[in-house]
Amino acid sequence: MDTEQDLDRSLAEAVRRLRDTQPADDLWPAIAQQLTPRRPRGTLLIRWPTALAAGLLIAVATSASTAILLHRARSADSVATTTGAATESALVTASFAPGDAALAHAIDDLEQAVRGSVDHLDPDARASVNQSLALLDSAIAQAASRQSAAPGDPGAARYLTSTLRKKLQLLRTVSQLSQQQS
Amino acid sequence: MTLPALGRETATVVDVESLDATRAATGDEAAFERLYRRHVARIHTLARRMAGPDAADDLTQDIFVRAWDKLATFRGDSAFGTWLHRLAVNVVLSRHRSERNERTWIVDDEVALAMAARATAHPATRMDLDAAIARLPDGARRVFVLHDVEGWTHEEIAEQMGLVPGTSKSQLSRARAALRRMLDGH
Repeated sequence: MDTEQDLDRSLAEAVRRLRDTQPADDLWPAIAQQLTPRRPRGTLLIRWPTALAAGLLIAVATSASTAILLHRARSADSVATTTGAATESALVTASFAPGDAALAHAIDDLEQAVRGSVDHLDPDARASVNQSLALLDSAIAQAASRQSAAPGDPGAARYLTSTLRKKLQLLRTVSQLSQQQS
Repeated sequence: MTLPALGRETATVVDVESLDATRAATGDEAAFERLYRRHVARIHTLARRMAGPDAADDLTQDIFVRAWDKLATFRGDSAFGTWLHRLAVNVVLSRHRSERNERTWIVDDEVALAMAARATAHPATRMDLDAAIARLPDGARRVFVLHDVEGWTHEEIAEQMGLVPGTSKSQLSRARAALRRMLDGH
């Protein structure tokens, strides 16, 4: 006769064998009908002083982190001294692996969406966000240059990852600001 | 800006789902549909196991509609799937709380647990685990699913369900006993 422990084991094994299953019907059409439309792009109105405070916060946070990243890049090796214009050119001609290209396009699309909102901020907040984006773009360009020069260097890969994360976080913050205000 | 070629490691770290969540928060329904397609099986299964098959479709719709409404609160601190799962449990439990007093179902469970196990205490009625879970009374079923299937702690369950951890533990123990009888048919 099975002991209680045997039975517990067999119950735990049965739990492990459980699998998720799709609903019998596609629920998406009904869900899509219930989604509240977001405020259309291009109508973002962030009130002063929230805009300036948020913009400055973003600028300070990203500028500080970017400055650290840039400092590390400069001291890492000579490749990091490549000018922004030169690396931008290198990026344009960079070839993408299929999966990576899809991800890069997704980030580009997100930036376009967010930039549409930024254009409608008041001048001071817009300047803060644009300055932060420019700093991060510069850091990403240098990171890409490092990685191109040393594709097998895990440090270069991590550096690029961290700069991309900073940019993603900035885009997300601006996006969330627009949602909170809509 | 044109982004550089990303290494596979980098592509994994920069979470595609997080991007879709951010895009959906800006109003991109296509991005939100991708998130739905990726997670609907898990969410529907969770709703079915916790609330029963009849309520699963309706709950799943409610969960995704609420996720859309709350996307601005997703800050990317955890994976999108984790955030959605927590939201789903909240929706299921709040729906239940609005339908029934919590204390009442705990008391009712005592009787229902015994009946559920007795009703299938015969070799001919041996069943698979999902069917057996569905026969558990509400309280025991939710505790079992959250603890044994979803990996929650008793403290988390107690906080979420408004119980004390001891009640969660006793409900789990009884749920397991009932399930063993149903699965073994004796």
